[in-house]
Amino acid sequence: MRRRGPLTLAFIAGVAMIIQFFSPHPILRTVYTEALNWYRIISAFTFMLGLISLMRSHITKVTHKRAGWGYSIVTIVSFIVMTILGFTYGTGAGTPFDKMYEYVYAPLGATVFSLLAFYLASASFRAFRARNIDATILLVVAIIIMLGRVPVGSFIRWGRFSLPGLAEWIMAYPNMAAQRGLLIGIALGAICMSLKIILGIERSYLGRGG
Amino acid sequence: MWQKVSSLDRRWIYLGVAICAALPLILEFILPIPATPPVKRLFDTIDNMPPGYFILLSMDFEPSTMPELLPMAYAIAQHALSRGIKVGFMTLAPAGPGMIEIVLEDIRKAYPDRKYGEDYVNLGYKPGLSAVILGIGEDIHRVFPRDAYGTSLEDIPMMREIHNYKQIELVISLSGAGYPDAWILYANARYGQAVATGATAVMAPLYYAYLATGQFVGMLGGLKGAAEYAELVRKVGYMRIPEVQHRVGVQMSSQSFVHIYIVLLIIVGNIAFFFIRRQRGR
Amino acid sequence: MAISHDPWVWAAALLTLAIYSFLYKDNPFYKFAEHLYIGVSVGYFLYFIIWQQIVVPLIYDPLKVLFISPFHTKELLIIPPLILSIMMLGRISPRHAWMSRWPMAYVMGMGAGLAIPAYFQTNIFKQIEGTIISIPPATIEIVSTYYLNKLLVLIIVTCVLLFFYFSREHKGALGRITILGRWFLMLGFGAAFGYTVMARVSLLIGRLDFLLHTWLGIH
Repeated sequence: MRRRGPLTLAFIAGVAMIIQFFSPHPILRTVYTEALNWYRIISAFTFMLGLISLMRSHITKVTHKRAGWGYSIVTIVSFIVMTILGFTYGTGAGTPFDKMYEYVYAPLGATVFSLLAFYLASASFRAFRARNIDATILLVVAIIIMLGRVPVGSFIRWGRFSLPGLAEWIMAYPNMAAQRGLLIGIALGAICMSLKIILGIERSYLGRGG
Repeated sequence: MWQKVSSLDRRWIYLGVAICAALPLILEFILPIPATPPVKRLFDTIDNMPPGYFILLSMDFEPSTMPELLPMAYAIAQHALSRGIKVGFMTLAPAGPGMIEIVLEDIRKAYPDRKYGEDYVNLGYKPGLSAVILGIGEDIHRVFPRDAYGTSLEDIPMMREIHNYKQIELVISLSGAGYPDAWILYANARYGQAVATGATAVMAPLYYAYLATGQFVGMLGGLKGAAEYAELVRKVGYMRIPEVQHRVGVQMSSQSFVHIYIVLLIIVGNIAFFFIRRQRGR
Repeated sequence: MAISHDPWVWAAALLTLAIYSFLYKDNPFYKFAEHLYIGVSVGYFLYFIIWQQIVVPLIYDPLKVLFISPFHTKELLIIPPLILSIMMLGRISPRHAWMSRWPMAYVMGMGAGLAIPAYFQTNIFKQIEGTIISIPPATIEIVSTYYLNKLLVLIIVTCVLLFFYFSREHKGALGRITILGRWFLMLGFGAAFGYTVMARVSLLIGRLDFLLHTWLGIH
């Protein structure tokens, strides 16, 4: 019963959403709007789950003095400070909360992601080899795109032909067609998965146990 | 010798990247940036829109991708506001509201003639992704009962006539994740809403498929797209925050240098690979 | 050259450098910055998302209205999803995890039901339509180039789709087509790689521009 009930609920919710897509009936529209509202509220609560489990792992690390527990204190303290700033000063422009976002959170996030530029350069040097036809195609196209997509590329031209023009053509036709093939494949996969959820074949999201 | 080259310490490679990126930023030179068709399409759409129309600029990104996407927001917002088009700022990304604030801070200073609540509004963030997009199709006032600063939407003059996608001329989703897909899946497919995107370069290749079918009316891809759009806006004389556009231009020169450096790395790496393989073959 | 006097800019610059120090080798400055990032982002989420976007508008405000007039229909409708939402939190303890199945089932079922028609329409019908039907634009330079490109797209999409068709062994004619399909995919991946490099380099340039221009004031 602990599984059958939720599976039935998933089935009803899923089928109802498919039916409403094809029907403009006013009753269905009201149900749909309300169901969407519920969906929004419940989805919002999943954030809480993520936060609770993350903070719990840091607190356990500190209480058990596991390796690197000192850094977990940094996490916990900065979390508390940020929260207090929010409750004390609000979030408007120029408040300490806003400054923390703009000058601590934003630069840290952007910098962490920008590290990848260095790794990509290193990987290009070490691993990007024309070992076979597949790899050669990948490599040649990547070079055309990399040069054709920056201002310097526009200096490479022969008569009517230009490198940026070639890059744009690759993006708009061969690349687009390959991506379209992938897109159709992804959609078929997503539709199959959705059907499996509605029909109760896919139920791993319910977790284990009775 | 090639063995030595191929086992070069990665830190030297990193240093090369940093130097190539930094030099043009210090020397501040700008190379020409001609607009590509996907950028031109979005520009023309906004440029041909009658004043008074409403567009939704959904800044669905977080600080991690701001160097690429923030300049797009500046360029599009300036283009629209200069032309008298009303702009609704919103975000589906949890850390997105701060991004909107950064842009609005400069917009307020550069556009004293445009009033908050009459010409532009900040709807802020709402959790729920697809439910939010679908909800706007039914009633935007229900999804966003208040703006980002707590004012009821009923009290915001420009929002009185906006109820759902029927009154929204265009949605532009700026994002480095799957948000523009969601706008197509739920706003375009369901309500026939015109959607455009400003995507990070990581996402852009995939979006060419949506662009070809017209599901996206236009697209800015990465910093390059932002630079092209900013240049178009500057040319028609709508650029009121020139500093941002200038920086993007300089950054694109820097991008040129790093790309050349990476291409050279690939070539040298491959030459080393072939020589080493030939030596081993003997 | 005018170095910034804003302490916030200095904080951002030093934290940026702390992250980059990882490129030399792992060190305490990097670890500190990394953990600070996690803490600040969790604090941001707790106050800004959970408190301001969830607790106040979805729980506090409706309950306040209900406290004054208990039969307010619009607010009463908020109670069932609230109960489901609270059940979601059951997932935190293994003993109450079963409670979270109901809201999970609702969210998954809704998501699946909404996705099926949407995916059909956007990613299948529209994409196939774009591949096989072509309306030449009014202003067309060379008509033949337009159709050649269209034909190329049709061939590539077909080859790529056949590459993912595994119900028959890839031998003979099908085998040759799937090899083509693989090459076309490699072409797409090459383009994607070039663009990914572009994206990551842009992020790096953005940070360097901050350090050189905003912090050190180099013009």
